[in-house]
Amino acid sequence: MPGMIQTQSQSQNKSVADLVLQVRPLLGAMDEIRGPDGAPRPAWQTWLDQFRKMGPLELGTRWEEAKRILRDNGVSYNVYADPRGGDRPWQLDAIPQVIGEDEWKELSRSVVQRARTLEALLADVYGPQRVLSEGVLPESLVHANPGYLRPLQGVAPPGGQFLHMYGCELARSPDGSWLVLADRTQAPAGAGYLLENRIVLSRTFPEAYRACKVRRLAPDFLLLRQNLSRIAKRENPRAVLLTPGPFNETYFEHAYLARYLGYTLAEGGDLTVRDERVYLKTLAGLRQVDVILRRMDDDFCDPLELRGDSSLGIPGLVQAVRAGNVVVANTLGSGMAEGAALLPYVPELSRFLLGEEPLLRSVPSWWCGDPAGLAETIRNLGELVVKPSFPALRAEPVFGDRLGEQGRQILADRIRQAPDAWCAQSLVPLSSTVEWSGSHPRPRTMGLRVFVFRGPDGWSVVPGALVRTSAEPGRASISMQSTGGTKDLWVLSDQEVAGVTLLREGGRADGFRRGGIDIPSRVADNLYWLGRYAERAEGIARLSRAALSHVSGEAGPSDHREVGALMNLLRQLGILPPAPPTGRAGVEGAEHELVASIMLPSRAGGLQQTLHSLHQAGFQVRDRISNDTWRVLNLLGRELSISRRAVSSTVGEIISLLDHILLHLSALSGMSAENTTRGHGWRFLDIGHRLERTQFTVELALAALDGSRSERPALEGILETADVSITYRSRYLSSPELPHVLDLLLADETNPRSLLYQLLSLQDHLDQLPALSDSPHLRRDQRLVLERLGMLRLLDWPAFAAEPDGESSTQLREFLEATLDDVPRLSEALSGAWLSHSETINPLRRQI
Amino acid sequence: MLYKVHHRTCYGYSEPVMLSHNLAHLRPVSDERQKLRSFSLVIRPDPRGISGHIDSFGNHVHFVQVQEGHREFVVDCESELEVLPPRWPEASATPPWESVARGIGHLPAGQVALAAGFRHASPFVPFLEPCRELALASFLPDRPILEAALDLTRKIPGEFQYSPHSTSVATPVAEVLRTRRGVCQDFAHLMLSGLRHLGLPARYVSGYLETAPPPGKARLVGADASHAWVQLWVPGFGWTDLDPTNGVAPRERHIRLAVGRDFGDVSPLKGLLLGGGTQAVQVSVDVEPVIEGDESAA
Repeated sequence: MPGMIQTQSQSQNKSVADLVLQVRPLLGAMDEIRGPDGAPRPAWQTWLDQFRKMGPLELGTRWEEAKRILRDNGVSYNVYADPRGGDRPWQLDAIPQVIGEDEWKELSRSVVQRARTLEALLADVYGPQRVLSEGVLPESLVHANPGYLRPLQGVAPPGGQFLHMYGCELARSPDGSWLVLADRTQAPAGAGYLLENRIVLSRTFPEAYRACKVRRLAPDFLLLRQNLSRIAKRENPRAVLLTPGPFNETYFEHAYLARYLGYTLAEGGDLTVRDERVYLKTLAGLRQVDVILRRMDDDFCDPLELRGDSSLGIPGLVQAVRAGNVVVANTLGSGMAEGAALLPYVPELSRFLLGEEPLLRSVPSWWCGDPAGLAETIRNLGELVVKPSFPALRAEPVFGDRLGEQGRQILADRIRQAPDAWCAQSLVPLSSTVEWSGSHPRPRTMGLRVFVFRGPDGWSVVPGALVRTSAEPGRASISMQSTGGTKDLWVLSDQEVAGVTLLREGGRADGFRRGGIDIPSRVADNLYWLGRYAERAEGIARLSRAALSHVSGEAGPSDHREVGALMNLLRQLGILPPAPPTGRAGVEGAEHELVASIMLPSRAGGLQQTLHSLHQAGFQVRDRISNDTWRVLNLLGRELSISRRAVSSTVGEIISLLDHILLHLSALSGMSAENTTRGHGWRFLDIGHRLERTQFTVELALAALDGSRSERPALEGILETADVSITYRSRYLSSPELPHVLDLLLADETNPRSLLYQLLSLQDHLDQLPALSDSPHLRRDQRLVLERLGMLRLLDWPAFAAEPDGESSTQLREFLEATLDDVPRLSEALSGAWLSHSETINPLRRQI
Repeated sequence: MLYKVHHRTCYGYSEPVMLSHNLAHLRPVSDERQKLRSFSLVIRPDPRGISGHIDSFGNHVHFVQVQEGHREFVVDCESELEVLPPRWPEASATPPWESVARGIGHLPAGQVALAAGFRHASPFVPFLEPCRELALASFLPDRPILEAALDLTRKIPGEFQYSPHSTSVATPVAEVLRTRRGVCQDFAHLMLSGLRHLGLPARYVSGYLETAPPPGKARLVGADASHAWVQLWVPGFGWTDLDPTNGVAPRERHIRLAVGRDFGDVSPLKGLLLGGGTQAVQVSVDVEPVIEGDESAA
């Protein structure tokens, strides 16, 4: 590309501003940075001045830091919605787009008019339908529009407001005027990325940011939230952000926006409708929800009345909306207004519905359902991009200029077969801006996604935009799915900008409830399993490491006995299959079996599967765990993917892998102890840990007891696995004795791995969980723990020490076995009491 | 003709259902051709509330929510109604079908939504070329619309086999075309696809059909069934019933429950449950003719 041909040495002597001004714009496109006279546009002056002092090297250094912030914050776009590695890191450019205050004001006025037009369209289509009876809009654009939801016909939303967030895709034509490429009325994505972009850029270039007097974003988010609270039916309304879940491509943003607005992030399954009201299923029972800010497409929102095949939605939601008991933003059915086929009709809609001449033009567009539009489209196919009429049709745009004669013929036939389904747009060469590539600037095509929010006093345009750039010259199709980059848009202000701290300002509750009690049951359930899997993985890794360390090196006969005992233990715990495979025997066989159990991802209950389940549980509650915790989970995932490649690892390598895994796991439990502040959520996480450790410790104790009957007990290995060998040695200064080992493992409450310690912790947690009823009596889960505690304390340790094989040994064994049986019971009692809300919904079998 | 209709649906669950949301299209249409005299809907277990509204097609919809744990769900529906014979236009005097297809976009205000909205593909009625070809064999150039439609209605039972257990509730039209067999709703969807593909407004009707007992035999209670057929928009006359399963133009023995674009809009009962395990369902429909003045016939 021209303008990029520069050598490294040349560019190093020049400032960033010099380099940016040297970039030649894309052919035929308006130059965003310089005017027709070649001089920089006035709006850019301050930014360029700031970067006259900075060279590419410093920019590079600073930008590395910015990328680290993005990575650490976990900003991502989930391209293929793959839980493992599908996340694409967010692409943000170091150079913002700059726009002057006057131009922005004019653009804002035009975009607000557009929002008002579409709002009026929705009110009419779901109301009197004058646009149809007066022939302003072809009926197909309503009736054949998948976004038109018939069950919502005649339903007036709270406050009469359909749209709360409207997204407008804009780009600039060669003459410098703005064009609308698309309208987003369903659930416009990008506002969260916009905030994140701003935070990163303003932190990385604070001087330039201050000098440019950039208008702040936060006030509009506050207005949006205030208005939603205002139109809700109840005082102090409870609001949630509805997400399709962690597999959605913009899940990062859902979690981010929910935190920013102080809303609970909820999936469909977290909500339930009773008596035409919506409730959040929380640990403390059902809590009524007044506002749903949705990031789920509306047809998925209620499987009873909308798409029956949706498993994401909330049965009965439409009925709750009809009853006026919940504000859904944007209103269900608002996707009707966003088809590309509607673009040619917007000017007439503006005149008819508002009585106003449109201030903003759309990119020249034709709908093929209209005979004239069809003729025009077929005639000019080579200069058009052909798109599906409605986003729900999910077809890729086809660029006519890339097709040969035959391809155009095929396309034309396809259009003629179902003309209603297609529309076409002119291929306007969009404006050219500059992107920093890492060492030098290069030209890029640019489009904006601008957001209009509704506040208590009307519409306002968020002063900023998600700027999308593309390497393809002039292409209008700049989608979130495509691999382009993003930029922040800086709207300059003539006045001093008040120093609003973004997150503080946005996160302060104005009458909204927050805190641990609003944790959805699903989240508690996942945290509980996160704790259990983390603990299980640790147990498996410790035991496997203990066994492997006796296999390796100069193993003597005593080691062989240890290995045998540890292998038996691994079998009892279900980590190894019940019987050793035939073939290799002895230490060599054990080594082979151990390596396989660690390395094979298919081994049920093995380390790999447990770590995978751990990662999954973490993934499901990404918005509830700290960034550091999430990073450790990612590191664990990375250890695994590395280890999977190394099938033929040596014992030494595997031991060091286990060391790493154990280190990450202990970092994880350290974080859950120190960095998790979410009240009941944290309790469920810790209950998971404690319950799993209870099971593991009891299994170890049983193995020790078993060993005493047959060969020499694997006591060393057991102490090592329980991480208490040093404690034991410093206390007894002798080789391990069964009664003392068991005392340390079970009854020593100063040992954080002892059974007593686990039971006391569990007791404390269960007592602190929210009361489910007014009953003064203990719940089943509390009774189970209390009973175990009593039995444990009543064990006759002196008698056992005096005669390890006697009556008291049988008592001990019975106690341990009963405790083992109680673990699943306790787990069931817990889910019965608190987590049962996380059941799935089944359809009623239908009859003709 | 006067009828008493008793429609009972009974679900049994292997595990308790803790919460269920249900939506019913069970109240027959009441209009100039069908007068609903009485209607009752009884549900067990007693729901927390039944609410109703008129949907965008003009049907009466009931919402039923059951919040107590239950293993059996019974929906018992009784209606009494009078069906009047349709005033059919002379088929040969109806306008050529092409003029209807062309003119539909220019209907006077008010009728646009009524008729034109039913020309489009819908979830259960995709546009398929074989359906269009099937329709075109009857819709010959310039043929009066009703004449052509009656011809198509009579042709379908000859080309497809009625087999009650051949399809599940949601059989795609493409599969019916392939296997050449189906049930009433499949034939309705198939015919709708053909008619709409030609640009003609047509809608789906869910209802009941009075079945005559075999000669000399007593009428069996509960032997009747839910039924489905088609309505075509004929200018100057309105919606005209056509039953492609039986190859007839319904007169007084078809009782209309609800109309929509396809089965999905008007299924008599649908629901979502929390719990339930495996389900067993029993449906019985009884359409009983009442001789006027002889109320004891029940």
